[in-house]
Amino acid sequence: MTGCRTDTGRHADTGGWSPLRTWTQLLAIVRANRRRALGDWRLVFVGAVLPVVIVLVVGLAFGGDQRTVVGVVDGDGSSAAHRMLAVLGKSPTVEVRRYASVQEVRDDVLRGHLGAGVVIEAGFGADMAGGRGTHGTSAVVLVGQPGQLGTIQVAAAVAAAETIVAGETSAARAAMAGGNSVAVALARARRLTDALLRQAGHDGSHPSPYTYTATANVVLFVFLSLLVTSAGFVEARRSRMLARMLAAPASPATVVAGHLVSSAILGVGQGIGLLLVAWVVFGVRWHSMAGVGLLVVAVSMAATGASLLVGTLARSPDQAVAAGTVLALAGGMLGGCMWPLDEVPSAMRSAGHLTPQAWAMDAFGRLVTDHGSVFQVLPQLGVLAGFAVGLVALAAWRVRVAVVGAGA
Amino acid sequence: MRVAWSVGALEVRRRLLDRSAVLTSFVAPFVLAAILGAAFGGHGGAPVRIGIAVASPSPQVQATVREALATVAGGARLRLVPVADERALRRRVAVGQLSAGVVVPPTVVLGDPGLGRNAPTAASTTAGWGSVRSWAAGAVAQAEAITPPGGRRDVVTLVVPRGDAVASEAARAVAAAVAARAYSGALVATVAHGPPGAGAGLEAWRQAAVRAAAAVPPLPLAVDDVGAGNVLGYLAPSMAVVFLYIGAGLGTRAIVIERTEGTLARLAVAPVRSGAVVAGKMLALLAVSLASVLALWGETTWLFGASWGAPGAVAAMCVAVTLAMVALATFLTSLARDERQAFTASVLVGFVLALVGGNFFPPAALPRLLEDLGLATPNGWALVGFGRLSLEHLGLGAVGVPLAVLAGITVVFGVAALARIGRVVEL
Repeated sequence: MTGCRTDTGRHADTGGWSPLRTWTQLLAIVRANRRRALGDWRLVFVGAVLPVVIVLVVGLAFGGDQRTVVGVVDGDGSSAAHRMLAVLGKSPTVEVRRYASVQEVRDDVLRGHLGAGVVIEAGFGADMAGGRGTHGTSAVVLVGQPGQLGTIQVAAAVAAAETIVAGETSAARAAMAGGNSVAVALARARRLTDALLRQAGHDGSHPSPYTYTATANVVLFVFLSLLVTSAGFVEARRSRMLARMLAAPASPATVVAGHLVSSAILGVGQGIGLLLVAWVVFGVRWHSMAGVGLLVVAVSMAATGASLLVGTLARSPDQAVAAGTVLALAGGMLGGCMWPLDEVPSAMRSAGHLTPQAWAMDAFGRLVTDHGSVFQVLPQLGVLAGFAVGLVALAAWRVRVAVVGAGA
Repeated sequence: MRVAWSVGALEVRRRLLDRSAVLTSFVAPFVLAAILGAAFGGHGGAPVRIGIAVASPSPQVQATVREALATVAGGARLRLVPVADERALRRRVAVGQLSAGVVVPPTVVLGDPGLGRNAPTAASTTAGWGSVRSWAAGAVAQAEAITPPGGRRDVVTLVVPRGDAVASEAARAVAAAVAARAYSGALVATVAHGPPGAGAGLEAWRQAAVRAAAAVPPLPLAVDDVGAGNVLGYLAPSMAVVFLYIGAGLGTRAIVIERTEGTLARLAVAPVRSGAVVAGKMLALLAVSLASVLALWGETTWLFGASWGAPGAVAAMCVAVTLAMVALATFLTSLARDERQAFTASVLVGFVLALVGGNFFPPAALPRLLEDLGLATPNGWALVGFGRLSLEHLGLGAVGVPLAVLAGITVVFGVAALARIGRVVEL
């Protein structure tokens, strides 16, 4: 009699270990879990439909025009003011939106509709023509939140535009001093600048605007789906299905491995599926197939370990779903799946790297944004493998304590 | 009424003893709001320290750089630290003494006036501490008319750490200001004295350009500070709204499960009216939901210094949004025939509402069309109200419309929910 077990679930095998039998048992468990997963349309929704919808929505929100919006109030109306706004409007980094009053600009900065605003006060044109700059009677006022990303971006673009216009008027004045026509000199200066700006606006290809959101959602949803499926393991524990499996001629290690492999396959399948959608639908590109493939496997293994651990710790499927959702969302926020980690303070960046998600996002950044090779993400893959091994070891220990030790 | 209170008290106790309910209603919104607070709460306070190394001893170049820095320093809230040379600057950035750095070459003549897309971003720099050279070369190279033939295209070098967008943008702003002023000098030299020649002519042109760059009038940007962003004061209630729905939905799901398991049927033999049971259970749901949002308000205010807005108006919004979300969640979940459908109605519908309503995004991040679509959900109206209070610092009068819409949702779905739950309990 092989593979019989005692009441406590401990192995009482007398027939020796057979790789073929173990493989067959493993496949049987994987098949059963796959059928259960594919039959649950909630999982299909969370794992496949929801991430694609989110990528679309987030892509629409952040992907299309990535320029910072600047609200402008032209209180001068001079030719120099028009020119400055024209130069600003050619900037690839900001989008100009006209406003009638300063208060409206302030309100929209507070609401988040504008990165910042700029007000050209009356007298700007006269000061420029007189070579007095904004130390004259007028001022160019930046309306914003100093130190915030959007305000810095707008400050850079406005300062550049203002300086260029000052340069153009200086050039015209210098030409006039040499006995040349001011109008001709100014027109020439503007042509030179326009040529430069045209080129600045056409400097080659850009990555798909969906690049960040598509890869971030792969990481977020592989973790979310697998952590939510931990409820299935809890159910198997509570319904004593695990106990019945252990009563069959299968070792505890095979049963655990069966669940791990099922979960990992689900994660890898989901990851590859979402990346294919990113490639085909959203135009996201990468050069290293091997790097991306290994990364998806590493992410899935880490998520699998976390899922099994939650499955052994939770007392009910509801608890597993609640804890899994919170862990996945919190890990996603900390790990840079909701917003890029380079936009948060350095302490938060460091804290984020306590999660596997942050390492996965770093690796995706190098592979997809920087078009790096697999060798450039070996450190990240190593850390993810460490997370996977650690979490799986913890989960296996918990399975032994909570399931096998207690007779399931 | 006593029966209703007893059922309600028992239900509250059960919910508080149920770890998954506590996790959903109290722990989850707090943890997520805490992360949001740490990520966005303290940004923009301290100035960004940018090191600047000017390689030229020329007073004209020094003046050019000084005037360029004055243009952006206020708007970007920079603290500019002069550094002896590039090596020292790199070292100080590497050990974290400086957020980022800018190196101005000895002969600063030409450069991208800060408008090119080639500017480096944190994501595009190389691993570790990166220096991005020739970042403006693509644009500058095309300005053939004013490029010295055979001359060097000296550009400003940025020393930026990977993964710090604010420091990178601040350094880029400094570099752009310097480059724009240098470009203006080149423009004056070209228009006034003709294109650069070769040999001695080139040197004369260079000197004219450097002099002209220094002579461009001062252009400091005046700053109208609209106040520090109160992003957490907006994002925290946003998270609360998401979990209000999910928490109330899961609470209703528990009632559906009670029916499936036959617990409710046993009540039929007890001397209580089903209406009292319904009232008790709904009171419990409302109490726990309101407690969760008020707890989050208190936690984020005291722990992270967030301001949700004027207390009276915030309290009104909290009550209105709790009633609306509980009514909607209870109605939709009570339509479920089994536990699976109830899960869908609570958790999945909750996520979809949050997505459409805009709860997972910073304020005003969605395009106008999606913003309008969000107003088809109570989430969207809740965000309008909380946004007016926290971001615009308005009072109760400004949230009249959101309060009215939420009240309407409460009445419509509340009545329907009571009828549905009544049937669930009677069955």
